[in-house]
Amino acid sequence: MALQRASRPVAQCIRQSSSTLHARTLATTTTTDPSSADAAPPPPSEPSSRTRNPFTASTPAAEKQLAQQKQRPVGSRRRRAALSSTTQIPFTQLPYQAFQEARAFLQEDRREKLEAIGLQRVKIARLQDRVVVGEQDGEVERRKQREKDNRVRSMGRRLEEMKVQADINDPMVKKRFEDGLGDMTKPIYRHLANTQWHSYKRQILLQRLTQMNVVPDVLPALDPIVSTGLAFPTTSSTTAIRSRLKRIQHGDFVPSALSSQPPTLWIQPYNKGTRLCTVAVINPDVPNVEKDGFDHRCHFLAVNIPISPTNTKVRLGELGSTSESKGDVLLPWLPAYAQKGAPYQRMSIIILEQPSPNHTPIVTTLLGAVAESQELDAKSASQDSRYNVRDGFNLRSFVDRYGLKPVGADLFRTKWDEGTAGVMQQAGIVGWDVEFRRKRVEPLPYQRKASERYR
Amino acid sequence: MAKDKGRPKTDMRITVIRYHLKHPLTPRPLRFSRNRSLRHWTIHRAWRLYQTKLRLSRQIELERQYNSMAAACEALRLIDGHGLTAEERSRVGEPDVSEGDKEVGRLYRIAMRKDDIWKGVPIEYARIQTDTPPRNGWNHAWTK
Repeated sequence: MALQRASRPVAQCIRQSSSTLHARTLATTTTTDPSSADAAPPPPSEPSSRTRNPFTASTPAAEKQLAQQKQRPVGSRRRRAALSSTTQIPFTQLPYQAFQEARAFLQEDRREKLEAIGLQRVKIARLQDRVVVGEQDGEVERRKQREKDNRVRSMGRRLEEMKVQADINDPMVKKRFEDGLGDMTKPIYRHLANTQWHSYKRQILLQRLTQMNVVPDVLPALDPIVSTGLAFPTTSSTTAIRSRLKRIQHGDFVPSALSSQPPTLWIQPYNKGTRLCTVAVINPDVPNVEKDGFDHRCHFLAVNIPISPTNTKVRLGELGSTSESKGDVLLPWLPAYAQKGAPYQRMSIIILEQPSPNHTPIVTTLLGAVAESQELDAKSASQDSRYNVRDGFNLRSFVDRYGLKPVGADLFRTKWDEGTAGVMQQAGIVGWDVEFRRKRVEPLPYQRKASERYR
Repeated sequence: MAKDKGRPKTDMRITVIRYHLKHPLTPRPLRFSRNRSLRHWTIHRAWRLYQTKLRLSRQIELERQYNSMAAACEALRLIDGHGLTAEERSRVGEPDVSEGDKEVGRLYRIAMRKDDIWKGVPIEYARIQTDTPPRNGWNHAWTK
C-alpha cells in the first residue's frame, strides 16, 4: 500500500482516520453549505474480493485477479491508486485550508450580495408603486412618467448585474458551466455563455460578415446579440426520421447536395424571455445578365418563430407543421445553388426580432427581459406582392415595413459542384444547364510598330 | 571524471549562454489538474475580492475624512470671534452682522489666504491663527 499512500497523501489520511482528522482540518472553516449540490460522500467501498474494478485495481494481487476475470487494468497503477482513494470526496469538501477559507469568504460575500438584491427588489417595487402626480395629460406629468420609467429600467438592469455578480465567484458554477451543464434559465449561466460567445465566436462571425460584405449588401448595419449555429441533415429526411446533422462554420462552403435540405438553426438569445423572430435567408449574388450585375433572392422566409434561452432549436423544414415548432413559413426552403461559371454565392441567414406592441407596460420590460413581441400578420405579408416573390426580394424594405430589428446572422456559401445540376433538376429550377462565361475582351487595335523597335 | 576524458572541453562561456537560453526568466505556466486549478481559481478570486473590499473601505475612509474636513472648514467660515454663527447671535440677542462682515470667519479667511505667513518658512512652522492675544493690546481704560 506504499503506492496508495504516495498517490494522494491528504486523501489517504482522511480515509485512515476519518473521524478525528476531519474534525481538526475542518475546524477553522465554516461548515459547508447544506444546500450545495453534492451530498455527503458515501464511505469508500472496499473492492470486493470477488470482482475487481479495472479502474481501481492497483495492487499486484488485484491485478492478478483482474487478469483472471479476463480484464485489463485501465490507466497507470498510480492513476488507479489515486482513483480508488479519492473519487469519493466531493470537490467542495476537499480538506485544503486555504481553499476552505476562500470558500467561506466567498459564501459570506454571496450572502451580502443576496441581501443587497432583496433590498434592490424592494426599492424597485416601492418606486413602481409611486404614482406620478401632475396635471392630467400634461407635459409635466408625461416627463415625470418617463423619468420614472427610466429609473425603474436602470434599476432593473442593475439588479440583473447584481444577480450575476452574486454567483460569479462560485467554483461549482464555473465547473458546471465548463462541463456544459449550465442552466440557461439562470442569469449567471447566460452571462457566462454570452461572455464566451463574445470572446471568440462572435468575432469570427463579425469578421465573416464584414469581409464578405454581407453587412452593407443585405442590411445596412448588424450588431449580433444572439448567437447562431447552422447544421444540415446529411441524409434526406424521407429515409430517416432523425437524420444526422453536419455542423457548418460561419461562412463555410456547403456542397449543394447537402444544402438541398432545409437546415436546422440554433438561435441562442442571452436575455430572459420568449420573443418572436423572423428568419430570412437572402442570397445577394444572383447573376443578372441584362443589367450586368447581381440581384437578391430570398431562399427562405418564416415569421413568428418563438425563441427563448432554453428553446433555441429551429428546424426550418418543420416550422409550423407540428405543435412544438411554431412559426409561419411565407417562403419555403429553396435549395442553394450557383450556376456553372458564376462566382460563389453568399447565403446570408438573418434573424430579425419582431417589435413589441406600443402599449407594453413597463413591468414586462423590467429585469432585463425582452418585451413581448407582436405577432406579425403572416397572411397579409404573404399577400403583399413585394414579399411573396423570391427574386428581387428586398430585405431592407421588409425590415422597414414591419419594424423588425436585426439581432443575429449566419452565413454559408455555395458554388457550382457536381451535385448542383441534380439538385436543381430535383427542385424543378430552370437553368441547370446554363453556363456563365466571361466575355472575351478583344485586344485594342494597336498598330504594330516597325520591327526594329522590338530588337 | 573518467567519463569526460575523451570529450573535447566546452568553453565555459558557451555553457553559460546555453544555460540562459534554455532557462528563461519567465517561470513556466502553472499546469494544474482540473480540481487543482479550480481550487487555485477559487482562492485567487477570494483574494481578489478581499483586496477589492480592502481598497474600497480605505477609499470610503478617506472620503469620510475629506468630508469631515470640509464640514469643519465651513463651520469655521461661518463663526465670528466669539464662536457664534449668525443664527446663534440672533438667538443670544447680539446685534446682527451682515454676511460680508470682517469679523465673521476672520481667522479662517486669514489662514486660507496665507498672506505673509509662510514666506520662506516651512509650512510645518507656520503659526496657527488665534484670537489671543487681542489685536488692540492692553485695555488701559478698563476699570472694575
